[in-house]
Amino acid sequence: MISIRTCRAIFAATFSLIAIVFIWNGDRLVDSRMTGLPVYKSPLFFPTIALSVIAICGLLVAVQALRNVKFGLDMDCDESKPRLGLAFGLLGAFGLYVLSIDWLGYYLSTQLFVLAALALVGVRGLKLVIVALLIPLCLYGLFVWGMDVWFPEPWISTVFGQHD
Amino acid sequence: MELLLANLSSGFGEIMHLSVILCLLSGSILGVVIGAVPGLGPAVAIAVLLPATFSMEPLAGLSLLLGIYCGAWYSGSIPAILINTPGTPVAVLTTYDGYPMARQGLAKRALSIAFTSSLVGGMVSVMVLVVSAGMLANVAKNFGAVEFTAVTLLGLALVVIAHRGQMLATGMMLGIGLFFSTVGLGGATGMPRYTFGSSALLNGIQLVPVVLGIFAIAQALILIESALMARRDAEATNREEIPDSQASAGVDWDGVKEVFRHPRTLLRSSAFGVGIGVLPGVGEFLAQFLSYIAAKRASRHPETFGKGNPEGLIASETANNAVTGAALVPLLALGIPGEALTAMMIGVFQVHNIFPGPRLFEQSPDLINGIYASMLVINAFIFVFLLSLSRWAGVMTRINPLVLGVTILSLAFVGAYSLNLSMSDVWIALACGLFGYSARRLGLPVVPLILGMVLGPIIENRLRQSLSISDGSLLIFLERPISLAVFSILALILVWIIGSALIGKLSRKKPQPESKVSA
Repeated sequence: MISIRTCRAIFAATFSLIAIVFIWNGDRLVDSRMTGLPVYKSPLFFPTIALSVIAICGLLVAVQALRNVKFGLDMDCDESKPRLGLAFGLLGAFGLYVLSIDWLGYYLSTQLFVLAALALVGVRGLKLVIVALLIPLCLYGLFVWGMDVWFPEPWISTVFGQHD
Repeated sequence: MELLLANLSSGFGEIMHLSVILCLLSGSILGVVIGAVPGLGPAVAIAVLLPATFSMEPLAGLSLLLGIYCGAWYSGSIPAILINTPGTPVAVLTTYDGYPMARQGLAKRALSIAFTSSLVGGMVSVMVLVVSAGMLANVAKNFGAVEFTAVTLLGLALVVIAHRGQMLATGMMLGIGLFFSTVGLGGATGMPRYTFGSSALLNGIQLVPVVLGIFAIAQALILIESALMARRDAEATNREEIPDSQASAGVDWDGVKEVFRHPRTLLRSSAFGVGIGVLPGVGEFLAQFLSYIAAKRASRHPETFGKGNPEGLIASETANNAVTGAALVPLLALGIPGEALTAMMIGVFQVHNIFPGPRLFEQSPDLINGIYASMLVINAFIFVFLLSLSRWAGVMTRINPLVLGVTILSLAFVGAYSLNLSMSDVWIALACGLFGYSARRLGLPVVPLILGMVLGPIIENRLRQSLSISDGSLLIFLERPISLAVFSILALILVWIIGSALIGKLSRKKPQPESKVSA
């Protein structure tokens, strides 16, 4: 199993590498048609400084991680263990939730997402049904009725001919 | 003094509007509830509600966020005292003496001491804000681009120093935040930068989706994981029942009086809180820690600290609440937020085309006075609210974290979407959620990224202006007295960091060659 140090080194090195690629390809990634400007007025000036900081610090963090230099986790992370399957499952469900809005509308998508997410985290039985009904209803009431947040007309309502 | 009172009375006039009062009270109550739920914290609530405040009047929106900010700091002590689990990370030292007091059947007293100490810290902090923000703004009126660049760089340096042991990781995250701030149309030429042809990125990466991803989505995932682990542990071992004395916690007036029997501790802890609170990036945890250590050293009975000494509780709670108002000083006077929560609040100003800084004191003194009055009322209201409802305080600690986590995820979606009614922001929030979760699980600090995003445009514009004045010469930073002083401090800090790292390395080589500590 891959250790947290190795993951940290890979993570930091990846960002360092991305930063180097961005610095290298600066002219292609930034529209710098206005030539003849002094360096400090170039649109690349400040991003290059920021990217250099990422590149250097990221590389050093990766080296430190590989050399087993100690680092601390924040309190919440220190007291719990990651459950990557669950975390990525929830993020995946969130992604599907975003995609489903255009098809099912806000209320139905939220209801399905809450049901799926609660089932994933292990909430079962009557509690699951009650909470899955209440959360979308409260959110819909608060944001759509209360704060007038507009959502696009869902595809499903056109099927049932409910659009005006 | 007269001017001070005049400012405050004008501020009270400003908050006497139904919308402001409603926001102030609802924000405070929400903050109290959120602070009492372990693992949640005010950042999540502020992140989720930030887009909602954009349609409000600036003072109403700020009052809501300030209520959450202060409320959570007060009520983080409830679970710390009752179930030995801090509601907010800054309440961790409250568990040292609060929980032992509850175990001794003194839960009521411990809660009353915590709330009263928080009130003292909070009020002192507001007074410091009222007195010093105007003074600092007066000084900063003479600041030009050079001075602002220097002060902002000092702020960034302090953020890095505050994460000792993680300085390189902090530098990397700050760099990512600074880079995020450059995406979109910008710079001196106004040309698109790093948009990859996407029209959604032309307006740049906005703060709200990033904050929602990093704080709300990532925190929801970690909260769910922690809850599942706690449930498994509870099933494996017989969970400790909460004694009756803790479950029926209520007001203890002796606890309120007890706080004022330790005026030195109150004064010292308030000083630590406000002194450290005004420094960007240093934060309330250090204030609380130093205050606790100082109280222990000064005590006649240091051996009772950690075993239910009320003085320890007073020291930690006074210090962490004394940070709240002080942290607003650099934000209001210089336009430089010192930590993540005040950095998020800057969004409320910007959306109304208001820019915090010395000119705000001349252009919108009513708003500034309103913020002062709002902070005073928030502190007083939370204290009364908590004291009167502390009998039911324990209930808030029993909200199911699994349901809460899923609710936060649903809220994060609608929060990100409602900003611009755009799904692109939701995708950015999701990507930042993944990034924030991974970073936190790998021990990388995420707060510097937010500070980098907020401070990025300030530094970029001011740095360019400074270099334009000097025709590209960096020597301009050494020619102005204020920037010279700031850069001298920066140089001293750098020497100190390198020196202490070298000394640490040399001393480690001698006794224990295998143990390593990061620079």
